[in-house]
Amino acid sequence: MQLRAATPSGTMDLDLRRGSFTVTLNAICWKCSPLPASGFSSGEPAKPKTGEYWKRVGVWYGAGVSSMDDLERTISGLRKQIRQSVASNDHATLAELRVKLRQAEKQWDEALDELAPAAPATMSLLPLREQVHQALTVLTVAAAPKLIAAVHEAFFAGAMAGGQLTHLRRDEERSFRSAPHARPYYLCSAVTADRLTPVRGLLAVSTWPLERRVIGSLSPRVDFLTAAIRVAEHVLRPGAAGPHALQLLRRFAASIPGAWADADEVSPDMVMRAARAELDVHDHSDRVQRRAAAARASKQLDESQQLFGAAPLGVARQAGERR
Amino acid sequence: MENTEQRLSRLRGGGDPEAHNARTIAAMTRNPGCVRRAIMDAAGVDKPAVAAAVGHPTSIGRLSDFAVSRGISFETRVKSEGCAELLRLLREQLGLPVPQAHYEDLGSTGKGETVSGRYLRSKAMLDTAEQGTGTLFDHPLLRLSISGVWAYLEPDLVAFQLGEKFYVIEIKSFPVIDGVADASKVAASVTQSAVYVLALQSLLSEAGRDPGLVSHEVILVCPKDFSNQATATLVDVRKPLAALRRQLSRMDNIAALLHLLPANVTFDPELPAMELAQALTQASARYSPECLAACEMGSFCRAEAKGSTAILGRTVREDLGGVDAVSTALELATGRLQPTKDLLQAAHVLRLAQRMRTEALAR
Ligand code: SF4
Repeated sequence: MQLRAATPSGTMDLDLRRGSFTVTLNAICWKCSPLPASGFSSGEPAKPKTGEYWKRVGVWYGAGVSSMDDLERTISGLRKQIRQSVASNDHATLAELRVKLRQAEKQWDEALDELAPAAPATMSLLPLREQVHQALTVLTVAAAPKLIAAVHEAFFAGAMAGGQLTHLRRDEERSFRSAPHARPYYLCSAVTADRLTPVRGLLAVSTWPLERRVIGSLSPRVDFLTAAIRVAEHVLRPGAAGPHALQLLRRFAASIPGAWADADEVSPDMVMRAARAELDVHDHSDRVQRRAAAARASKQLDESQQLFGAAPLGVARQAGERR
Repeated sequence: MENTEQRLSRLRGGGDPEAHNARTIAAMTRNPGCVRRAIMDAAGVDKPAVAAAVGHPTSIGRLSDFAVSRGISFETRVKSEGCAELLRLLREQLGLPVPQAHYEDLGSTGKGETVSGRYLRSKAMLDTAEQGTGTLFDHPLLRLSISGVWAYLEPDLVAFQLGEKFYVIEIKSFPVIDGVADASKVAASVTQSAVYVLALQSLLSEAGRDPGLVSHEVILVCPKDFSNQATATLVDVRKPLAALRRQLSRMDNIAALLHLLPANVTFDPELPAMELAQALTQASARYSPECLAACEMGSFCRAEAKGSTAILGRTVREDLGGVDAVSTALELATGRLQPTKDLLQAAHVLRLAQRMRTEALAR
């Protein structure tokens, strides 16, 4: 397989079969390079030697190369328009363009962050699925990739890009179908209580009881409150109250009535108390709905559907046949 | 004899009518006096294609990628974790009782689900939502009949039941700073929300329930003071709602307007440019500068209105009642033309303005 990444300054060819790697430079010019200084360490960037620069570029350009190219084109286009508006004294357009430029530069930085490998000091050595499993075990409820990543960052070694989680569920499903129960656990779906189809964007663990993976109309709130309690409990463990953990707890506290008194100070005990109080309100109705749906699912769905949800049409057809 | 439906189809050059969305429906109310627009919208003419064909391409309705991604990321944030942030707002600012925390995702399930299937799912869910068992409905699918054709609308937000009423919630990414937001953006969101309110009312009446269950207030959720936090505001949409109803019923009575057009006229974008432009002028327009932001034909109509006082905006046109051409206005102002009786008032205003101008320049 051959890959080519074109950059404004040259092209990079990768031949995976032969394992070769060729870089062709159009020009070597640091000043006119399309990468803004903010992409490097803070402060004035030291002018790197040509080889060093390309080593970095080699790391950066890859999956996100086309969108970064587009962003760079947008950025230089915007700079040009800004110069023109300055020249023509068009303040209204100027302000608007500046906002756009800032956004574009921010997106560029974000794209770069995604491409740049995380610093080794904070990288977890566990495979991604195990990191996700760790985080979900803390939460004990189905969660979205963003929350999973935040929990992992708060309590385990280092950052996890939420975006990496998108394909995980599909891979797990494939692996389960080809060799069921070959692994001690699978990362699976949460399923909707009404139609038993997979819930968009939530991950769960296969060893959990079905009832916990079924999502009824109150379940998102119940799970949110449960997660808040679990995070608060975790923060109370010795040495666990790091800045990321407290920030995560603060995020939960902000949306629970009575969970905080002071925006800067967050107390795990207070969060737990407030979350439990609200949980008491919803818990019963939620449990009834989940239990009924879980019973229905275990009757109607086969083993892998129970884990990964029924196909939307399949359920409709089955329902039609029963009628 | 050709019926209205056939005539409308011929007007757009055959083919399917353009699908309307909340933005295009909201825009219909911006210039209700314009026959050209009413006919084109009713027939579902591809206005951007027509505008481009006559040499006035438009970019209305095309949001920049940045605006789109900013909007999506704000919406995702407000709705994440079972709409935790939204629940906080509704509880703190609108007194939503704590037990009401239900969330239903009515969004598309992807492959295999038809639009009408989705509509029926939304309808069933909203219909059975008794007080206490339904609170937030994410991405319900609604529909409105636009001159006999269903336009499906997906409020990128949520309709929910607070107490006895359904509310439409509109999540927008423009900031509210010290309680104040960009007036034009608020106005645009309010008219769009009115479209959703109308569609929700029509869903309820289709389900045999009282359309009065839909509140005439919508909840606008925006970022607060550049911060990461959101804020909610209640906005009354009765006025845009009335304008919308009026315009839609006007389009339902399109037959009356069609009689104003010669039978052979069509707005087929495939026609030669000259012929198409000629056809357009057969339907009378009512240009005002606001058109530029609201109607795909804006640039064409402005070019057509060149030299007329309409191009200077509604207030000027009203002040100069009866004086249609800019050249006439200039002649009246400089005294080269003696006003007839009905133009005395306008001529007086114009002379006054001319005198002030001369005085100002003389300094
Ligand atoms: S732009 Fe032209 S067609 Fe559109 S509303 Fe204005 S006058 Fe009517």
